[in-house]
Amino acid sequence: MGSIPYSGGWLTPPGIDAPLLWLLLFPLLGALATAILGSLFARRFAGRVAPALAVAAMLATLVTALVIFFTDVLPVGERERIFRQPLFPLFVVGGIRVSFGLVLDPLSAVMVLLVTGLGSLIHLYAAFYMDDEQGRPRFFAFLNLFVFSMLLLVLADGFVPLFFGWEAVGACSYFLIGFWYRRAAAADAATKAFVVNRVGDAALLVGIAMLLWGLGGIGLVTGAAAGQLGTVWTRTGPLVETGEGLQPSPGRQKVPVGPTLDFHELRDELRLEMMSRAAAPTNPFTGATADAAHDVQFRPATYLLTSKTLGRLPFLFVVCGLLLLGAAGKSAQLPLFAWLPDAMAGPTPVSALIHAATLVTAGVYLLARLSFLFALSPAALTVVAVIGTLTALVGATAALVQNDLKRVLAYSTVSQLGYMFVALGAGAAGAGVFHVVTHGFFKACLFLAAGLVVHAVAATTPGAAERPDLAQDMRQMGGLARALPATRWAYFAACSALAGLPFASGFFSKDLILTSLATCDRLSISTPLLLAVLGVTSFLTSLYAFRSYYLIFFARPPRQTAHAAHHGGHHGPGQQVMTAVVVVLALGAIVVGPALGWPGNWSSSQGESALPRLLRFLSPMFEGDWPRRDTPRTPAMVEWGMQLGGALVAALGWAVARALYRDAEATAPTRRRLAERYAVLERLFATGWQADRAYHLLAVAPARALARGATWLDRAVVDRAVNAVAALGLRLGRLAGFVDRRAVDGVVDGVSAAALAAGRRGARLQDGRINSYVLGIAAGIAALVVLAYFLGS
Amino acid sequence: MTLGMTTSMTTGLSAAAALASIGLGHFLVLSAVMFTLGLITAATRRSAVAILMGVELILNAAALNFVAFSHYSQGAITGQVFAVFVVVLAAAEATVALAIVLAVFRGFRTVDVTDVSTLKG
Repeated sequence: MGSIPYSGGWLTPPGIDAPLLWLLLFPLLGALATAILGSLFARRFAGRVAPALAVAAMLATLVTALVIFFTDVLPVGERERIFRQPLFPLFVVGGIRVSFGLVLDPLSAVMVLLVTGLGSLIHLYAAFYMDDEQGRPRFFAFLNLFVFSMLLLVLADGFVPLFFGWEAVGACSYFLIGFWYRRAAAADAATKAFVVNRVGDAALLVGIAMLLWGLGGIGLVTGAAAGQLGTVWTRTGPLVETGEGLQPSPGRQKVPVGPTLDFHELRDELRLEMMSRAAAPTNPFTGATADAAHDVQFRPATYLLTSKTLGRLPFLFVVCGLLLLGAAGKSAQLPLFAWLPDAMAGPTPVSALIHAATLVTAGVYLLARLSFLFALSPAALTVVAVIGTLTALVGATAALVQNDLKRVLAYSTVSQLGYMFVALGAGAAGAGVFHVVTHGFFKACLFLAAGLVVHAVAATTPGAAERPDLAQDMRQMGGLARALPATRWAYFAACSALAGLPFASGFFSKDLILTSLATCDRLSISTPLLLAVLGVTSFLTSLYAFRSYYLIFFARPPRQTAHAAHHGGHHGPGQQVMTAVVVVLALGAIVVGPALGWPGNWSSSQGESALPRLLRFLSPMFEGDWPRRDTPRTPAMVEWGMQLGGALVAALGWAVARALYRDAEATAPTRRRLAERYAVLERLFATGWQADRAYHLLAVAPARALARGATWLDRAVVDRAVNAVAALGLRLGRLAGFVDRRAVDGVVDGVSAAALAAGRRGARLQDGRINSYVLGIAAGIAALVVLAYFLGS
Repeated sequence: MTLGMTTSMTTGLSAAAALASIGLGHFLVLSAVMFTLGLITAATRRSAVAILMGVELILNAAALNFVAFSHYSQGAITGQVFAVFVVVLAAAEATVALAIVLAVFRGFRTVDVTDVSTLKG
């Protein structure tokens, strides 16, 4: 047939079988084994069983992932890299068959490697970091389960398995953030994360349902498309017009059409319509019902989705908005970002895992996975970009004024996720995923380094055991550079990556995002405006990153802390392993950028091969998202400009931070003056732009008011009704009692009295006189004789 | 069994003829009278000894019936044999019963059956 350009990467090739289930089984079994064996042997082996099992499970997963990646994924041709493992059917609703299956394509491969790689390192670190904590089996079991859920999420072949992983990730984050459940702050933070996520999850579920509904009934494609393709595409496979009617055709060109929950089916369906639209310039939707003989209709999915409206809003915009809200909940975007800073109440390895590898990347992953869908709605893309930009700004400003080290990092994550959303909004999902990868490395490094710092400070600060926030207060730190040299350099490397200093990984990914935004012309908002905001954000990012760096390791050296840090904290192999993990991550934070994202304008080659390596790997996923025109190669001038500007802004931020915070005592008056002048701003920033108050006003207060109203209603109406019913019941009971006493008891008494009387009468017969007995016998016999005389004859 | 010969009893004939004219009906009437007298005695007398005498009358009325039926139906002596048995049985019964009466008398100082009672009520 040839009309479908298979080699052009338009349609998903049939998947290759691969043992993907092992990727899920290892962490799942690890979680079970850790929970059971870890608890059983907790006494005998001083609680070392649980960490060992968890780390072993993670390493097994990592090895599996690497083996699959290098032996299965890489050798296959670029556009054939779809690996499937269908597991089991879930349910059938009407014509929709929903099954549970796994798929590994370039996008999920990147995510799997990121999750398993960072997850293993973080597990290893946690095994030593949580050395003297109670409840380690629980901790490590949930840590493993967390990775399992995330892998399920990224390996899901459709919305349903994805949603399972999505919810499991949320539940695991709840358990891990609330690991120290006896601390009120931790328990509250866990609840907040869970509830805020729930809002997003509900939106996601509704979005999925609406998408399914919007794809309409089972549609057969014919008419213009059939004339062009010579086939009719159905839900079950292509039907070919033969002499004897429609027959299923052999071969691999199978494009199901109709409502589906499978990502690749959905994508192919939308692709097919795009092609037919391209093939038939006249509107193919109108002259569609050509094939009257078989009563088939031309109902392209794209048309179904783009033509509907809900009220005044385009249907697809609503669907994308709901999906976006779901993603925003998981990825801590406006307006659902305030849970992430509070989630710092969990142990530091958990924060690292949440921020770098799991949970918050889920939203970005979902939008990248659905970029073909969002591409159909420029309005939704605009919303994504605007939300990303605003979140980046809000996060960066909030990070600037925090004193709690982990809160700085948390707001930094919020901000960086904003960048990723900008990339998705600009239609450059590849750049967004690239930033996920680089961010994963440098943010994991920052958190784990922060964990080392916090441990060192906690060991030397009096009262830190009772108040965990004290050990995380950057004002308590300072002068640790000499005590923790390796940590310091690792932190510096990660900070440069975060700030986007040239040649660190963040520089490459951030530059790619800004370049994509600058060359994007689909947004219905001025891109220079967004770029300006992001430029300011980049400056702030650099500023807060190096602010934290200088406050921790330099600033005023309170001598006792710096001195005691030599003696306090962890020592021995544990400390060395943790430091080694941090250093490895720091190396990753530097190397990953250039290795995977060497910019096109820096290389001599042209065209495809000039694409950054990761983008080329991902390109089959996103190719053809834009049907109208091909994305032009980014003009080199724009790219150079963005790189230069980014580097300058980052360097400027560094310089300002160095001037203000390196020698804190000398600059104290200056900073005080600044703080006084901008006190209002500081308060605004420190509270995350009053997000909590906004939640309170918009959600908590109405909910409370509703509860109060319900209470009043309960008392005034429901209680009164219940009381009335009860009074009625009482009256009825009394009536029944009266009837009982008079009527029923009377009958019963009467029966017994009658029996008594009969007994008395009968007793007289048996008077004990022989004479009367004899007479009785005689009378009886006589009666019998008389009876026999009359009856017998 | 016919009772038609009872009419001959009312006719005044010679002794032999009269004897010959005595039929089954006469014996049955006599037996019934004896039985009734015995029954009345047993039912009305308070003395245990008198009741025993009534029982003897009933027994002998029955024995008379045996003999009469035997004679008039077969002409054999089966009835007489039975009567002897009944007499012997009655003697044995009277022995036991009188012994009981004696024992009762020792206990209660009376043979009045209405007074021989230890039941209440």
